[in-house]
Amino acid sequence: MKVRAVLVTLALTFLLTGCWDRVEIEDQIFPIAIAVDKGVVHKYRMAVRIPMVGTIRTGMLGGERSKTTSEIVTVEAESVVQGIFTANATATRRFTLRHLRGIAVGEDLAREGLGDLYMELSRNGEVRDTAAFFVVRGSAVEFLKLARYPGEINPGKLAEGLLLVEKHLHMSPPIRLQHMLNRSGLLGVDPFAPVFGINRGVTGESQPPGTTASAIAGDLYRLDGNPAELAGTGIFRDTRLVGYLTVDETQALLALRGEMGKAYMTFPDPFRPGDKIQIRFHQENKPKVRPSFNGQGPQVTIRLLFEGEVLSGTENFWDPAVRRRLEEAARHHMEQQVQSVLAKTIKWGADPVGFGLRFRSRFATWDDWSRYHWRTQVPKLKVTVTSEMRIRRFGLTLAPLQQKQEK
Amino acid sequence: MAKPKLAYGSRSLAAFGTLMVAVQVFHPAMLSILQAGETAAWLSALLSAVLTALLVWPVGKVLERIPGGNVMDLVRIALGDFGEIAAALVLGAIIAHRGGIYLRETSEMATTAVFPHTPQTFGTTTILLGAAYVAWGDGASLVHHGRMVLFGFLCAVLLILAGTFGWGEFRYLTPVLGPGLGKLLAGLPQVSSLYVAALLPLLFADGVERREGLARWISVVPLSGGIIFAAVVLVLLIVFPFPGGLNIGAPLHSAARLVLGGRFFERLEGFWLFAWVETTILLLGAMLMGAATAFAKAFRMDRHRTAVLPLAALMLTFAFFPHDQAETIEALHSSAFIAFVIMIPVPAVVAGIAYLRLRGRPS
Repeated sequence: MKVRAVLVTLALTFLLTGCWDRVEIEDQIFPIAIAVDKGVVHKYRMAVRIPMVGTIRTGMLGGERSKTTSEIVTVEAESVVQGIFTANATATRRFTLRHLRGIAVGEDLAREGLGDLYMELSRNGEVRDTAAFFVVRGSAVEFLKLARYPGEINPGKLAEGLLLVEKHLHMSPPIRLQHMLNRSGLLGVDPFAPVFGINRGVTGESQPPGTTASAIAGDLYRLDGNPAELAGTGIFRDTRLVGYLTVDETQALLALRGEMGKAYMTFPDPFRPGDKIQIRFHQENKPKVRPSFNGQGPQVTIRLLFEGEVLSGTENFWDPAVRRRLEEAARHHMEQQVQSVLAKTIKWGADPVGFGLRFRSRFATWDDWSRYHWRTQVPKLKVTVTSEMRIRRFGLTLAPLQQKQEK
Repeated sequence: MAKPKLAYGSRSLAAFGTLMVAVQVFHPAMLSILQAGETAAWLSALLSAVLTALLVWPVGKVLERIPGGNVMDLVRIALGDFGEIAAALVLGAIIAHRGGIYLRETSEMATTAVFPHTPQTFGTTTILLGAAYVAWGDGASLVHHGRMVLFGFLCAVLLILAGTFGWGEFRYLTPVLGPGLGKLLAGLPQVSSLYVAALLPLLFADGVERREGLARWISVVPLSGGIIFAAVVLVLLIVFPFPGGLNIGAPLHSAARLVLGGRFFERLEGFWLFAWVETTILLLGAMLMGAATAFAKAFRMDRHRTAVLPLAALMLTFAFFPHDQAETIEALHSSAFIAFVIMIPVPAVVAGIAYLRLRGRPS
């Protein structure tokens, strides 16, 4: 009886699929990315990137089949689902969002607020909250049309590849839809997202910008290659985009949150004015954050500790004084970035660092916390940051190669 | 040769009871903990588990004195034959109603999340057929089956918790006292309604041969269920923080959708869907069998099977009372407190009366 009961109940669960939801994989098309902009006629203008499954090379012996591995369909619609249906009118198979890997949102729409879009995406049983999320400076549809990643032969892996780059270089934060959904509805932290941009220097529409300083996507000093680039962070206040952070500021934001992995920083060379020096660095410890209240408003003291290694430079690092001076310059640069992040976000009334969550724990009940009106406290927030940079390694060569000296 | 009577131990009964209580982690019933406890929902789950354990312990203690008896025997001792019939009718109605709501809500969630084209009638009928088949058997098979499934169930839940842990932040658990200690305590009866299934071990206690320690193992049911609830609620709160997390219909299923182990290890919620439906079939089967057994005792029927199909039909009818998904969840919440009072504190009172009547008699 026992075995029969087990078998029957297990078999019944398989039966639940019934005949109604049987779906053949070859009857479907899986859009891998969507770009959503504010519509001209309808609510949204959307571009849907569809992989051309037959042309994707797989495995080592895949060989060259076609240069086009995905196609774009652009539509206008009142909702994402309607947009997908509209795009589906061009195909002989059913579109399903079950393998949607990336969602890019245009600047105009993001500045208006993404509440409606979030609601629709979170209700949709096909859309995964694990999809990568991006904000685009300018038009997301244009970005999706122009973006080309020649190194990536499988468009299905594109979003995962971008997330890998984000995690490796920390030029932009690795964010998924779930992060945006959670932080948009939460009192005590605001969402932030990686930024895509179209480089007009590459498209030939304008000259490249004249600086190599830390920048945002769209402003990187490049002459050719993929017109789309991923760098910097878009800061949201609840569901609305309020501003951008540069690459260095992104690293500072991640450091303040304790989420910075190994990152790269280029800063003024303290030994050669006008030159730059580059280090790779990471956080030695999680930031030590002490929240407190004073008469005027909330106050936070943060201590950051970094550890780095030199990647460029022409100095003799055998000399302890040189090492100390370099550490001081790197620390100073990083603190400047941190201060810049804090100044910008406090001005925007946003709290991407999540200081509010630190203060939440100081309240016993949710009612007490709600009555504190964190949103109105953010502009009054006073943050004191101290940091330390320890340069531990100097590459394979600790001093410049000796030049011959004539007597 | 007479067929030996099938029996089981107190420990198996506790494992079966724990599964019956803990199954609700997959269901929207979990929302009642989150609503009542807010950021302190885990504490609420633990406190209500202790409250329920304190209420079922005396019932188990009196049952230790009645070999081969269950909670219906206590009712007969305390309230007489008429009381037993009335109790069976009330119990049958409550079980059919709650079972119907569970049935509908499981089918609704399966339709919403996985099988959008499958008709409700097919989903509910298929699950109910499985439950009726389970209830058609005998108590010992069900209890042993429950004990066996508990291990797989715990593995499935632990996998979800481990897989989604990284999405959250511990600071989402603050403020520590949630709505405040007063509101937290006031909400305990509502939260305790999740432990209604703790009545099932009391109904299946007649199969326990060795009665020593029965009360202790019966008290373990809500306590272990409470620990599972608290662990699940802790992770849910850090993954779907309050207050937004309250609006997710089946939070553990949504959590399962977040499990991501790289490019080649994702979309694993199918496994948990399997665990969800399988354990729901067992819960509904146990509810049907429990109510049928109560009917059989009260109406002096030879076999409980006679009552299984009418109760299943009643359950199916209740399943289609709510108009939509939201009404289904509301029906579950609105009937929760009454169901809890009738199924947990009332048996405790009945056990007290039975104890007074049994005092002085040899066990």
